[in-house]
Amino acid sequence: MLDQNYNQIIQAALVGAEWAWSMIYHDLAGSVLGFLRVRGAADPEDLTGEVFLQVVRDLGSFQGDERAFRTWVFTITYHRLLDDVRYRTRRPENSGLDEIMVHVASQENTEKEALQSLLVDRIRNLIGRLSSDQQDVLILRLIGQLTVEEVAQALGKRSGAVKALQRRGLESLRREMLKEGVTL
Amino acid sequence: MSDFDAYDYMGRFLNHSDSDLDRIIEGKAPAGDCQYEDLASFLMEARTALTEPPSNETEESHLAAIIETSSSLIEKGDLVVRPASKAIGPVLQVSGLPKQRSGKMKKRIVFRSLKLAAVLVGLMLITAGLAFAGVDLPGTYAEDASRAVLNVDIPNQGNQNNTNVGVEPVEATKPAEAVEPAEAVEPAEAVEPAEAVEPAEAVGAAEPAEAGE
Repeated sequence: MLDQNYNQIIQAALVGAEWAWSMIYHDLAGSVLGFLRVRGAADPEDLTGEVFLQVVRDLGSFQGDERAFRTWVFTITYHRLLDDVRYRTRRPENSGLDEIMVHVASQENTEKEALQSLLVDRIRNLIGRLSSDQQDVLILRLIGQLTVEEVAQALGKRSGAVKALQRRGLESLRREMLKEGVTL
Repeated sequence: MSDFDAYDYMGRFLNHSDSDLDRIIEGKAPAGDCQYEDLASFLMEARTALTEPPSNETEESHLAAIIETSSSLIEKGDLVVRPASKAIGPVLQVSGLPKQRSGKMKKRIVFRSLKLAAVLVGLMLITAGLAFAGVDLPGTYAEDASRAVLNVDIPNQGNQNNTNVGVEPVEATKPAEAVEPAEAVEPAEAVEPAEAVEPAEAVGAAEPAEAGE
C-alpha cells in the first residue's frame, strides 16, 4: 500500500517522475499479474504491461483516494481481461514465432519459478471450477484486497450480488477441496 | 449422499455473517469454528502465491514502457494533468464547424447569392428592355392604393411624356383613364346654364301673354 505518501506519489506520477511510477508498479503489479494469471489470460505479463500503460494514459482523469485508485486499476485490469478473452475467441491461437520464443524462455525458468508455477496451476485448477463470476469476485477480494463494494464497482455489479457470489464461491471452493482432499 | 452433504454444508455456510466471510477471505477461520481452517489456510496460501511480483526482466521492460509513455505524453503537450472538473468552463477549442464542412457551407452560400443576384439582374434588364420598347408598365403600389382610397386618378406622367415624344400606338390605351375626371365634372357644368336659362324663359313666356291681352 502507498499509504500516507499516496497523494505525493500520484502528483509526481502525473508529471512523469520515475520513482513514483516505480512505487505504483511495485504496489500493484503483483496483484494485477496474479489476477490475470488465475483468470487465464493468454499472456498475463504482457497484459499487465498494457494495464499499466492505460493507467499512465488515463491517470489525469482519475480522482480519488488510494482505495479508489486501487479499485480503478482493477477495473482497468478486468476490462483488459475481457478484451483479451474476446480477442482470443475471435482469432484462434496460432503456433507462430512468438509461441516458440515463449517456449524457449520457459525452459530457462529456475526451479523456484517452476515450483511457483506448479502451485499457481493447482490453485488455478481449484478456483477454475467455480463459475466465472464467482472467480472474479473471489480473486478480486483475495488478491486485489478489495472490499465487497469495491469489487461491485470494478465488476459493474450490485453489492448484494457480489455478496451472494462470494458466499456461493466460498461454498463451492470448500466443497471442491473436500472432494479432492486438497492440501497445499 | 456421500460424506459431504451439500444441503447441510450450505446451511452452515449461510449461517455465517459477512464479517465471518471477510475473515475467511483474509485467511482466518471464523472465531470458534475449526471447520473452515482448511479453506482459510488455502486462501492464505493462494494470496501469497498469486501476488508474486513479475520477474526482474518483465518489471524493467514494463517500467521502461511506462516512463516512455508518460514522458511522451508530457512532451506532446497532451497534458497528463487535467482540471478536476469543468466548473471553470469547457476546454478551449476552435469554435465553429470542422474545416471540411465550413468550406462546403461557404461554397453553398456564395453559389446561392450569385444565383439570386443573377435573377435580380435579369429582372432589371427585362424591365429596362420593356421600358425602352415603350411598353406601358404597371403602376406602382402607391398609385393603386391612392386610387382605391381617395378615388382619385393620378395622371400617368409617362403617358404625357410619351405624347410629347409622339409615340402613337401606345397612347390609345391611356387617354380613356385620363378622361374619367373630366366626365365627372361635366354634369356640374351642364346644370349651371340650365338654371340660368329658366328665368329668361319664364320672363320671355309671360311677356307675350301680357302683350297679347
